[in-house]
Amino acid sequence: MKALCWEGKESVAVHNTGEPRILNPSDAIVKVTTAAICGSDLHLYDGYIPTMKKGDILGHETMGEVVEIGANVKKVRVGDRIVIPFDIACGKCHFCEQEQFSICDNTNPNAVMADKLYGYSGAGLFGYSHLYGGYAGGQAEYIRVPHVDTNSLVIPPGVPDEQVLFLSDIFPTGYMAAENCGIQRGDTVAIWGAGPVGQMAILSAFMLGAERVLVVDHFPGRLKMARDLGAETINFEDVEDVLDEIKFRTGGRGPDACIDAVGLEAHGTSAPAVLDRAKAALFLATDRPNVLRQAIQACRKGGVVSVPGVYAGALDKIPFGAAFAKGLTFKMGQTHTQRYMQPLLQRILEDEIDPSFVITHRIGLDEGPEAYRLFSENKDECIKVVIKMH
Amino acid sequence: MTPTISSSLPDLSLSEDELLSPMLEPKTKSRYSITINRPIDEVFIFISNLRNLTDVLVSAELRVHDHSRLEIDLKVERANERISFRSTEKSDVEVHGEIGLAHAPADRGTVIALEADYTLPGGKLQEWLGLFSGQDPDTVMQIQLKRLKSFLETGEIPTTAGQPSGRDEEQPGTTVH
Repeated sequence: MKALCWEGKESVAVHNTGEPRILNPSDAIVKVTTAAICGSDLHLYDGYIPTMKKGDILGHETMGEVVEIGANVKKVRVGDRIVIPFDIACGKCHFCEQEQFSICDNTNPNAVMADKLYGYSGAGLFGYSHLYGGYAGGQAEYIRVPHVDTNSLVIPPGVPDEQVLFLSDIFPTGYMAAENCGIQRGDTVAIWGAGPVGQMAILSAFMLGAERVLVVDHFPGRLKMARDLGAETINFEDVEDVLDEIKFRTGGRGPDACIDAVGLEAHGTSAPAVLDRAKAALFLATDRPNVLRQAIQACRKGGVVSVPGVYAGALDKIPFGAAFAKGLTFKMGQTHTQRYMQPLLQRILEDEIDPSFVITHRIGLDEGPEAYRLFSENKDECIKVVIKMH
Repeated sequence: MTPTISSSLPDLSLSEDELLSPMLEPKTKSRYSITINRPIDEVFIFISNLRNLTDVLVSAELRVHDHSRLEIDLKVERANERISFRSTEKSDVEVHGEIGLAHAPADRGTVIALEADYTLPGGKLQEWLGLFSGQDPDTVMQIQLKRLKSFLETGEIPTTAGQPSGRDEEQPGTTVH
C-alpha cells in the first residue's frame, strides 16, 4: 500500500509498504477513505517531537471502511464506515472507566519510556512518535485500529466523509478546550491560534454560552475565518502589545478564560518569542511557549487557562507567579476524543454545525509531501488539508 | 474480555523501543508496584501460577536469548495477600523476593507490590545485562508488570510488532486487502 512516511526534519515521502494485519484479537483493519493533516503533525515535521524514526507512517485524523476484524471485536462489523479517534484507548482500565481515554493505561507498548520522561504514560497515539507507542498512522491506504470497539464511531450512510472526519481530533479537541473553560453566561474567552483547533474552539465556546470570543493570530485568512464565526480578532503584528490590547478590549478586567490553541511552536515578534526560537534552533529548549506566557498574563483573576496545544518538554520562563497571584485554574491534555464523538456527531446530523468549513485543500496521497511543506510554510493560506485516499 | 485464570502471558519479544528505553544503572534490587483494575482473587490466582510469575521476573525472551535458566520455587504465604519466591540451585539467575497483594482504595482494583533481589554468580551480571542494551532487571520487570496488567484488564498486550512502515521497502510487505 501507499503511505505518507516521516523521513526526518522537514521531510515526508510516499512509500510503498506492506499492509497492516490483525495483531491482537480486538483489532480491526480499516480501508482509509479520507484522512487529514493536523497542525500537530507539523510538530513532527518540524522536528519538535522526540522519538520519531525514519519511515514511521504519519497521520491521526482518519476514517474509512472496516475490512477485517479480530476474534474479540463485538460491536464493529466488516463494512462499517468509522471515524477513528487519534488517541487509542482500551476501554477497560480505570481511566477509560472515568472517560479519560487519552490517559489510558493499556495502549502504549512503550509506556516505560514515557514513564521515565513524564512520570506516567498516557495512551498510545496513531502516528505520533515512539514515545506514544510507535503506532502506524492513518495517512495511508489502510490502518490497523486496536480495541476498535472503543476506538471508533460508526457513521450512518449518506453523511459525507468531510462532514464527520474532524470528529477524529480537531472538533472534539476544540470542544474540550472550550468545555475546560467552564464558560458561564456572559463570559469572554480569548483564543490564541486561529488554526483548525482554534476555529473549532471558537464555535464550541459560542455553543457553550460565551458572550464574546477574542482571537489572536497573524494570518489574515485565518483571522477572517474567525470573524466569519462571530469572533473579534487581534492581529498581533498590528498591535503594539497584545496584552494591553486584550486588557483594553475587556474593560480592564481580562478574559474569563484563555485558550492556548498554538502549543509548542508559537510564532511572535516579542523579545521572549524571538529568544525561544533561537534557543530551540540551538537545541537549548524543547518548546517555544510564548503563547502560554501571554495566556497566563492576560487571564483575569480567578480565570481558567485551557491548553489544547501540544507541549512536549520542560518550559522556560513560565510566569507561574502571575498564575499563583491571580488564582488561575489550568486545564489541559490530549483530548478524550471518544467521550465527545457521539454527541458532536449528533450536532452534525442535526445540521447545527458542519466542521468541513475549515478545509482549504483537497489532495491525493501522492501530493502529501508537498502539502506538508505548504501547510508548514502556510503558503496559499493553507488551513486544513484533506487527503482523499480511496 | 476476562481472561481465563489458567492462561498465561504470551511470549512477546522485547521491541527495539523497549530495548532502547532509558539506560539505567543496572540494579540488582527491584521494587515496583502496579494497580490492576481486576478483583484481587483473580489477580492472585493468575500471579501464583509458576510460569506467569517466572515471566514477570525475567521475560521469556531474555531467558531464551541468554540461554539462562530460571527456575523458581513459589510459596503462597497467605492467599490473596502474599507470595514469596526463590530461585532453585539449577538456576543461572539467582533471584528471591516477594509479592504483596492488596485491595486498591474505593474498589479500584488490586495493588501488586513486587520486591526482588537478583544476583549472578562469578560477576557475570554486567555481561548478562550488556546483551540487552542496558536492559536491567528493574526495567524488564516494569515492562513485564505492565504487560501483566494489560493482559488481565483487556485480554491482550499492546504491540506494534509486525505493523507496516516506510522501512518495509528493505523487506516489502504483502498485499492482502
